[in-house]
Amino acid sequence: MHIIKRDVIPAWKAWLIRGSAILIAILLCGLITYMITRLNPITVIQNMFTGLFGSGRKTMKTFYQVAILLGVSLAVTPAFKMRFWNIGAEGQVLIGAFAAAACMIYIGRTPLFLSGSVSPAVKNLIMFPAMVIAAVAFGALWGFLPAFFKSRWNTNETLFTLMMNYVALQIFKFIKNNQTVPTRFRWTPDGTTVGMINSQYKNSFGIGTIPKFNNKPGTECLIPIIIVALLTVLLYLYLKYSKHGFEIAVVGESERTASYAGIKVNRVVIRTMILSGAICGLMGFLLVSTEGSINDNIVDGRGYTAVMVSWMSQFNPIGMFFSSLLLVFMQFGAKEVPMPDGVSLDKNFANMLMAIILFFIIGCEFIINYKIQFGRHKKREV
Amino acid sequence: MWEFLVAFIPRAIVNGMPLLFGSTGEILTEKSGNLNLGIPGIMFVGAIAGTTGAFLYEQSVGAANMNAWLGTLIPVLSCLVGSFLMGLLYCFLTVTLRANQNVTGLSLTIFGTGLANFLGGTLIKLAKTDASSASSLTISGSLKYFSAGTDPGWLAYVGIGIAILVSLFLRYTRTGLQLRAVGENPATADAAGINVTRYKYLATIIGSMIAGLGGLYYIMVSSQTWSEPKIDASGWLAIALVIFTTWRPSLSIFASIGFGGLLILGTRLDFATEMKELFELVPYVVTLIVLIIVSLRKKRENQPPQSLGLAYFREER
Amino acid sequence: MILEAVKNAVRMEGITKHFGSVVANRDINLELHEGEILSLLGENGSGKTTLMNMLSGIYYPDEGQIYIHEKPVKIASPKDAFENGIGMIHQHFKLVDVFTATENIILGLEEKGMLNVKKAAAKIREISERYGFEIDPNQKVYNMSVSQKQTVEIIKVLYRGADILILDEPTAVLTPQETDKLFSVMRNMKNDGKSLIIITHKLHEVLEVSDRVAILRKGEYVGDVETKTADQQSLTDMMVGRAVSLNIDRPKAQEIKERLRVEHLTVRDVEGVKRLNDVSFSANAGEILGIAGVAGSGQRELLEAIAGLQKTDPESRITYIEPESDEEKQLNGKDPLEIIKSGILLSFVPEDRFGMGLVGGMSITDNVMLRSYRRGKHNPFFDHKFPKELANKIVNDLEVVTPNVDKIPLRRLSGGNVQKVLVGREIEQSPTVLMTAYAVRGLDINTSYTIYNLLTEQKMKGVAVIYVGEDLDVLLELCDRILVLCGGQVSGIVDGRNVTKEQIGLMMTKVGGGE
Repeated sequence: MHIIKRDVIPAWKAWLIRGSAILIAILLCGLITYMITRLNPITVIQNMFTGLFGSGRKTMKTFYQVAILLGVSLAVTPAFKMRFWNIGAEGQVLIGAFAAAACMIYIGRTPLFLSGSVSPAVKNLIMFPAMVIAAVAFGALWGFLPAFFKSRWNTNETLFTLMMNYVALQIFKFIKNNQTVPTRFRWTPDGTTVGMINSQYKNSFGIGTIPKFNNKPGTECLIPIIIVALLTVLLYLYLKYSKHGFEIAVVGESERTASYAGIKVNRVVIRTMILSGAICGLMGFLLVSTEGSINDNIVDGRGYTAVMVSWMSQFNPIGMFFSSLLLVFMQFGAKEVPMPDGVSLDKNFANMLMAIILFFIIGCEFIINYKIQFGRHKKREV
Repeated sequence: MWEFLVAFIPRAIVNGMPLLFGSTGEILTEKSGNLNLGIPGIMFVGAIAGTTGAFLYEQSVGAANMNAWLGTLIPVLSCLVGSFLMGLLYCFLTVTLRANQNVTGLSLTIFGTGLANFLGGTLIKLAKTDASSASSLTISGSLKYFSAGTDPGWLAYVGIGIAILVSLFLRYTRTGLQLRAVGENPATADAAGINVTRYKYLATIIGSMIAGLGGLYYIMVSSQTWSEPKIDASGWLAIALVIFTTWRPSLSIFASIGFGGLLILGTRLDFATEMKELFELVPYVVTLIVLIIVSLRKKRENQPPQSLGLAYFREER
Repeated sequence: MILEAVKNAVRMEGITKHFGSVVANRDINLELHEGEILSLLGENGSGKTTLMNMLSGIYYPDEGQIYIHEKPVKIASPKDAFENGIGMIHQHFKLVDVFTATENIILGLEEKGMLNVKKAAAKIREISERYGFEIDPNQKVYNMSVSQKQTVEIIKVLYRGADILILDEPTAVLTPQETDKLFSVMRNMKNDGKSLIIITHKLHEVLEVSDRVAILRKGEYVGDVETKTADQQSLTDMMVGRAVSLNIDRPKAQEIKERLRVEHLTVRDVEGVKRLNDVSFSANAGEILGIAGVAGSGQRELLEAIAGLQKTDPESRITYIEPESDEEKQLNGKDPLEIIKSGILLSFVPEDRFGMGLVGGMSITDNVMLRSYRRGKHNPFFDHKFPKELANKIVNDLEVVTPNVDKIPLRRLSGGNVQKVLVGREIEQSPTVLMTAYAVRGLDINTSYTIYNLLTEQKMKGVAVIYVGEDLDVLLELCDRILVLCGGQVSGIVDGRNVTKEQIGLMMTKVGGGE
């Protein structure tokens, strides 16, 4: 038996192989679920559907989750296209969320915001831009640092970005837990880890959170969804048709060719990572602003999942949308499946199934890239 | 001061041991050129496999009738089997199917974390005797065989022993030399007649099993209960330690205990409780600084194995 | 001479090796006597390395039989070669940088027990003393000079007990002093009863070190001579053969004007070794300047230095002269982007097509765009219509065979089509200076002629063309002037119309070319 590298196979064939791999994986997941729950698979899927799309509010919430995951996936994509292994999206989103929340808390406690005579519209007009700028700036900083060291001294970016996740987390925890004195600087009203921001300050509570339309629950998800939809289009255009996008693709394929063509590789690396970090920061802002609260777990592993989404879609935004949808469907849908004794399958179970799907996708890339020849190998060296 | 240290050092060791197991396993793995980001997941699986083994044994014979040998061996063996399978999966995907190591490792972590927490939750429900203990699982039967309650226990000695053995193996044995050659330059190793695939498989799987023991230690000694364990943080920190110690398991013995101490220092010092998170931050920041210094100084012995993260394909020479 | 006394260490009989449709070796019969040094001589691409790779187990012959000490053997892997006592020292060293010499030497040996570095080091010292190597067994490879690394490779082979050694162009990377040392070591090995083959194309080395010379030309065995009966002239004749007439059109341009002036150009590699040493010449509009030289004489560094991809020593001057205004612009110290931005029209077809000139994973259009995507200064988006039209034009003009221009990745096209895209793109820049490196390497005859015609056409349009080539016949018929490089120095610049192949051959191997 002998393994050789394939010539490139047609795109449709590659997607067919990927599609079949996903299908087999889903069937396997279904089987595992059935063995554990002994529930009729159709009922399970029905339950998941009604749980996720059963009402307008639920549908909105589901698409909001898809939007956030898609947004983070979009953020990591330019870096991956450049072959820069940024697995620090988790920290980049968190630090962005943290910056946005800090704006809500600290700006929200200035006299202007505490006074009842200034209209909420004016307050929001100041608050939103401040939050966005802060979130984007911090996210960009978290993206810039590993890129800077990578381009300067070739510091390993995988490990660097990984560590930055924990640096972000610990800084956030420190400030959140220790801003207790004096009382009015406390991050959360009761000092616990989760809470509504500024809920005890009547006049600034709610400033900086995305509004609901007609007070209908779920409508606050609309703006994040629109923003991410817009972002998807913009990033697609950026990667596919802009000069920057072209440079990213060339650097990813061959750094030497890039230098030959007059592309400054270091500059492209740093610029692209700032962009990645900035989009992550923006997602952090959307999380805080939509939910009106922040906690340690607000990013909830999306930074890592996004790596998978981006990779399994081969950086294709449409693929990323469907991948995000699939993963959100599984992660959040699993909760909706009632077990016979009343407890439900949890997110952990969904993550496990998701990983099984990923294993299949990872494995099927082999079939796309290599060919196995049986028998004595033909001599084809050149 | 003396009293503080006497109380503090054993706790530092207890908190540091999972890191030592994890980093020793990852060093062995990385020396073969595999960057296994699945270590947190593997530690999780090691932990849940051991816990499940202990739990089922206790359930089947009753806590009173447990045999000390079986009560020790069953969790250890289940843990080793679980982490063996995880290592095998990683190798199959990255070595045989030549998949991207970062993606595979992250998937393994997602898988291991999900599986362990799901099974853990299930065990809790199965063990549920009264409503109050709904969020944690005590495997009291086997615990006593691992540690008398506050001491680091025999498994800590095993961990230190393994770290020393791996150090000696890498430095002084022929096989260790060949393994390092595989991680540095697989084409050269291949030309010298070394079976690159076999070395990668063995090093990665044995590395996984060592890391898996770290997960078991976390449950059996550090936390002594299954209650939303934060093994993933230990796993990532173990990967950080690999860089921090510049791929030296013997150094990792001290570094792990040091990191373990930093993680609990905030809770142990009266004046420092407010800075607990900052103490926990130190290991990561220090690792970042070490990572930068290593890349800056370019001292060849301290660099990552040259082919780390790359799949080897003979035809691409 | 008593013929009966000659015993063969190696005998290769009727060896033929194909790569695809190309015949690398055709029906070769080669003998290596015991206790002799045999030079295997031939131009680049004459099949020397391929032939030796079949002895060392890297390739397996399609036809023919190999005898070792007159016993028929089958050598299917490096391990088989090694068991037959054959050791080859390749041009590219296979060493682990962070290991010591000793660790590298004992790597992969199937000995049992603990690692005994001391014992191994002692054996290495013993070997070194026997043959006169100078080596510290505990030195790390990354601290070693190229010649030290080579020593490690040779000892590695001896440590494994080889008695037949093959050295593939061992002197290409050595200084003259190091070369002398290597030769004395080789003689020591010979006196110890080892049999050696040295692959080379440097004539004076052949004459200095070997007992016998075997010559290959274009994959075929030309013959062998006793070294003492040979001289440089006779060897050159055998190596290059009679000049072949190719009938490449070489019109004379009306106006010849200086466009590029290189003065005192010195380039060093990362280790600080001079790859180019005080090179001066000029390239003129209306001329094709050929650059000849054995591989690795500094051709790559020369073109890359002009293109802004190499650091040059401070005394180097590279001047570009504008076609219309005759304004002079300095090129040295500028990176490729600065060169583009200052309006210098420099085109470059590099040697490494996918490693440098093109992106294998992208379409023809995208590859064409590599040169033009910056157009439209303030537009953040690139114009995709223009490159597509250009890509279509190149495909039509040069008859590139491809299913489409904007989908199929370039890597899937054949080598000739890929090269047409690259040359086509560079010509479409309407350059003032056009540099090409091995522009026809790996291409079939027809495509090669297409490229020659294109270059001549450019010359007649008033472009200064620089052509780095390896086929002397082509250089002699295509180029107006030929610059010969030897070891990073200019060996001479000659008129392409009044020079013989032999003269160039001598200049390639010796600065100045004289006896």
